Amino acid sequence: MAKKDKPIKVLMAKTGLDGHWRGPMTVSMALRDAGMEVVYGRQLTPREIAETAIQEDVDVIGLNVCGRYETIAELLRILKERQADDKLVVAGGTIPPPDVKALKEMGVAGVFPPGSSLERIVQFIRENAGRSKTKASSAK
Amino acid sequence: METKKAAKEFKTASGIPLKNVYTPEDVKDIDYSKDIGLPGQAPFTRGPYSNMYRDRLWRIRQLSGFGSVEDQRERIKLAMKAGGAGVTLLSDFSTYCMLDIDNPKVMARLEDVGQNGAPINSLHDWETLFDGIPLDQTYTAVLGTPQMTPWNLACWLAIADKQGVPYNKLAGTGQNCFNTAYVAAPHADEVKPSSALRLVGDIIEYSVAHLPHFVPVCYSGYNIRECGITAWEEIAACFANAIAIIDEVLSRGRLGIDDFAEGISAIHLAADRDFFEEIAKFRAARRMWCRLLQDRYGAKAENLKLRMHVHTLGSSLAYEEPLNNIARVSYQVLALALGGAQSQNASSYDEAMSAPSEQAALISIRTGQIHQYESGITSVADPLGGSYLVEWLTNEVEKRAWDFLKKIDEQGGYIAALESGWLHREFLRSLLDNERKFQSGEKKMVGANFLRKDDGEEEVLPVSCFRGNPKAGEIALAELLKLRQERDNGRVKEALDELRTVCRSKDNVIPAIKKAAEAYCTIGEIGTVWREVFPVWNSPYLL
Repeated sequence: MAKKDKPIKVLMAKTGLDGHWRGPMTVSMALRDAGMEVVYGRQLTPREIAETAIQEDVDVIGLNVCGRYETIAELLRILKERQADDKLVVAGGTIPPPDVKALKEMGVAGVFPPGSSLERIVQFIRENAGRSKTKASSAK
Repeated sequence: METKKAAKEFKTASGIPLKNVYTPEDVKDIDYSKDIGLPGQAPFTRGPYSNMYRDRLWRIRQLSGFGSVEDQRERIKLAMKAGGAGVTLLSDFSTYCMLDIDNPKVMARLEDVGQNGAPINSLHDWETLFDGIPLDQTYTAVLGTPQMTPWNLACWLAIADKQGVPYNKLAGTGQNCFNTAYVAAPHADEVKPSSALRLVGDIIEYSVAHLPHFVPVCYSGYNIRECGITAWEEIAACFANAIAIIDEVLSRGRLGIDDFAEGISAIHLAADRDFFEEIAKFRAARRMWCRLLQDRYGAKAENLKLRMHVHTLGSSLAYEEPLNNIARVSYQVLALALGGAQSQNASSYDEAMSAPSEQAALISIRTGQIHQYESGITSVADPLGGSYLVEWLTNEVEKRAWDFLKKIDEQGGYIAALESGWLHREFLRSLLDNERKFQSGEKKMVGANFLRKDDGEEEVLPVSCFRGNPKAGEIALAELLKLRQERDNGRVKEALDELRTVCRSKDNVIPAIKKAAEAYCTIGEIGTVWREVFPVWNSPYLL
């Protein structure tokens, strides 16, 4: 559960420079329909995402992934550095199956490739937002 | 086992209700010579050419864009060896944004460079890309947004000069699609649509004067179709874009419609999952285009053959059980062939995961070739012509497309509909409707949201996933820094100053931008000029 009596707040951001918005838009609409508050981050660098997440005091960071994961690793590193790593980080996008596991090991709590059920995403966020996370094993 | 329940209503994927069978009654008002005609004759319902595939098969084109420029070149050569005769260039996102590699926005994401396409940022990169690839034997789709295409064109011509290829031997297509650049895949700080019209106008005028086999504009319905819109919204939005472009060129007072109509009669459409609806859409598009230009502009019918490049819709492919996608793509290729397309881009089975692996890309090429050489469908033009369903559905898709076009007109035309966000809102409605249908299971995807192998458990087949070159960004950065050191920076400054001046005048930008390309200006430097001289715009759904 998120903070008491407040809707779960989610920052939706893209790490890449690409312009694909169908995924983030669809998920954002589903989150809103489920009563969550959604902030659009647009195309932001890892540091910008972290700072925005902190400023906006979000519970969840939803990342649209299109490409490599170094930017995600960087984001997680900055969140940890800023002691904001209790924020739930989830990712969606064209993610090949072997990378789903790799992202989770990196510290991304939920990974949602194409075709993921919106219901499942909403449920996952509901169940996991606001929980303090035990740090992921591999912090290389 | 699923019990087969008769659904209450049968509809096409875009929502057209269907009867159980169609009869002569459904097509009795059709006048064959006026509404259907022969292939190669107005209104071109049955195809742009009389002999269709007997004379020339549709081209097989694969997208190739990833990694470093060298990587991209090698994939182009691979595709050409397998029998593909064309090159479709994709560029890195930083290139589309017209940013240099050392721009802070790109540096913050250096590892992402090369995911969508190689960063092709200077004439030097073009030279690397086309090293060993003869331009006069290569049909080149110099894909680019309206703001980027002048640059792509300039570089392409500079390569032609270097290879000694006369411009009348160059064959290719621009894109210049507003739907892609401003709706489907926008990026931050783009040249405002109304200003980008000027650039497209310049390309068209230049092309009419110097490039007899270059098709400067190819409206793209594919990318907006990926947003989940209907078959008729797809074609209507393309034609609305066309109207804006035509009006721009005509307003200059130098060309008549017949001087350039042929060069802007190209379209890039999707082949989505509904077999007959897509075929109907292709036929309806050709007829509608012909009628639109005749009625609205008095154009000569013989110039109005709409040529189509069709790309099987990526989002119709599943992440789960990816090899199933080979079957999906195969029937989509069949649809585009029965619809009379001139070239195909068959998606690869690993579409939902990554850029195509070599193996997947080859299967896409082979799928097309199998339909071409083994299926027998190429012997007769428009073989489905006369089918009660297909003719009725062609009419229906066309009717709905005209209705949507009228709605856009009511918004003050395409550019107004775009800049106000109206088009985005309309499309969002369709997107959400489409998405709901998939989520609820009303629209089925076998193996994915329906008939899954195990309930909830994913068992994904091992496929060789494409991995882009992780060093692409570093390589590009090093090349950029080297280029800046080695080029004549005095010449660069002069060229950029001249470009700025030309932009502020009403002169054609192509000669000036070609000079800038030849001076080894970079795309970021050109982008900076654009952003200085033209107003900048951000799409409402930039996310």
